[in-house]
Amino acid sequence: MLVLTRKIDESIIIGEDIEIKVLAITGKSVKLGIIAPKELSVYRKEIYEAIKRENVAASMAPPDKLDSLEKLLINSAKKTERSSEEENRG
Amino acid sequence: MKITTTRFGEIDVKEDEIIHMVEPILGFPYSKRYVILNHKTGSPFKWLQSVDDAGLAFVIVDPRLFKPDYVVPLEKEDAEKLQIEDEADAEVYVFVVIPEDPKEMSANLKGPLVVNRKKRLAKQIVLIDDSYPLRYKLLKGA
Repeated sequence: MLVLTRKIDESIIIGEDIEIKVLAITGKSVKLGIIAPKELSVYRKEIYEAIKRENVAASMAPPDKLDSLEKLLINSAKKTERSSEEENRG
Repeated sequence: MKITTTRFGEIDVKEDEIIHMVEPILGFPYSKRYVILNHKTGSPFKWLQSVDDAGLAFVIVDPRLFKPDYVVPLEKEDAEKLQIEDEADAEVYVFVVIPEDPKEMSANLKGPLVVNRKKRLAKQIVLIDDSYPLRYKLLKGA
């Protein structure tokens, strides 16, 4: 891992078009500003990892269980509808 | 064209039904083309079946079925990537996880799939704020 020390308002440049700037340091938090081409997505790592794990779990859905689940889901959705109608009336 | 799938065998899809991911679904970088298949007529579940990987398919569902007020705040950049000019162009789905105990099934409201059917483009949007959970339990009190 490349390690660089930066102060507030200093940046690092990655390649030709990515800049990461230290905007503020408060206690244990560092606020970073990121300038990158808009075709690149920038994620907080823990959110990226969580979504990835969830996607992998989603890719393992067993087709044979869907039929029984769809009835439960539709019934559960109806319940939600009814309770929000009641809320609206109240 | 015919595509091969491990779950549904060989299926016939029209070229113009194929949806291109403008960015891969996180964790699945090599699969760029998908089709959306109905699970059964009248079923709320749909399958997002990969065209590039026969074994890859996700269960997706329209989140408004169980969360009528669900809204995806689409960033300008994402709207541009998806070539969405009008809100009506956007279809929103969420990925469903069915664990071993299927009653624990959940939907990922934090990483919805936004599809522009007209342009046949899609992207999984990662919502940065915490307004929606990663695992929204679909069966209340089941």
